[in-house]
Amino acid sequence: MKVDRVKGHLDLLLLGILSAEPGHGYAVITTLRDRTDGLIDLTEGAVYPALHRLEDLGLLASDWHSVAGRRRRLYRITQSGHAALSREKAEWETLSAAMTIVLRTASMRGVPA
Amino acid sequence: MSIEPDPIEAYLDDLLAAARVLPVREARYLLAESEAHLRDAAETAVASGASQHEANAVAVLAFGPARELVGQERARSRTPVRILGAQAVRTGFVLGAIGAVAVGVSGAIAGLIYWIGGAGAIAPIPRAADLTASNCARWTGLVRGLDCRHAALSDWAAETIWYRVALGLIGVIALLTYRVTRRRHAPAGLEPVVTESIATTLFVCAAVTTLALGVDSYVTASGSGAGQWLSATPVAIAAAAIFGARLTRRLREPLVI
Repeated sequence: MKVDRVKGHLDLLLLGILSAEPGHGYAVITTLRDRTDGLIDLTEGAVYPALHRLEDLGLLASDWHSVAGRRRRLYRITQSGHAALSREKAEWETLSAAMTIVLRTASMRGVPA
Repeated sequence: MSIEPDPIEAYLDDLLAAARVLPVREARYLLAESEAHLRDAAETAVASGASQHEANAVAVLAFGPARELVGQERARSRTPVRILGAQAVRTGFVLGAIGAVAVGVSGAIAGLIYWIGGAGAIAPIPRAADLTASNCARWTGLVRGLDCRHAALSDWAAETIWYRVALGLIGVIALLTYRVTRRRHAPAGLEPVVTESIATTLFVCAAVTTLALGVDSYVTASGSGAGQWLSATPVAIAAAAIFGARLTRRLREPLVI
């Protein structure tokens, strides 16, 4: 999938992944890749500015932990983050349903069967 | 035989160099997070059968260019215009109050000049056109026992001194009010280096201007009224020296991440 297309929805994806359990950046990336069977494969570094921006907005919070001898920043979703996720998810589902209806009835003339 | 540099170490060097444009803590956190990520990714690649060097190279490639990452972080941490406006207002308020205090101190020096040299050392000799009947009635009413010209001189000199002292007191009150009411987590003023540059420039301009006007009074009016300008010059020089010294010290500090 085109990276630019995913970037517009990166906040929703990150909030969705972290709503299940707290995680550090690398875990978030691998979860995203695994759950989408590699369909979404971002430049890994790009996730960090997005995580930091969500933290600035109060949708995520973070703490530093030492795990297996390595210092990691663990992100967790906040109450505001849960509320934003519900709102964005509802909007996405409405848009997705509308797109599906339109595309299902789109003419496929000229496309070989 | 040349030894190839470790890709992760080389990348972290690049990231450290690029991250100098970020606030110090953000740069430090970004570096720590990036290193943890790269080491995790390399471990995963090694577990899949890659050599350590290949694994490190793969991790770096997947992470993306350091400058791009820092660019995104910088765009995120850029100060919003609303905050910048609030910072500029706070800085303007504090510098205005400091300026008012400086004017107050110059009023005290003007008072000293008045005590030594009389009203003529502070206020310019009135022009004939100023000595109208109504003005004279007012001045001689205010300063009894003097003729119109000397009463005018005395009134102008007193105004120069006491208006300045009053402005200085307002400046002190404004600074104390700012200090007491400033909320701990409210956005501070502009960066100290910006504030000190503005203050140094303004006080240098004030010192040069008041000195020039004082000298001009000696050249064109035999020193009449020179004290009103020259009383401000040492205060402006002292303030410019204090802010200039602070600015120089700050500029000489090494950039540490």
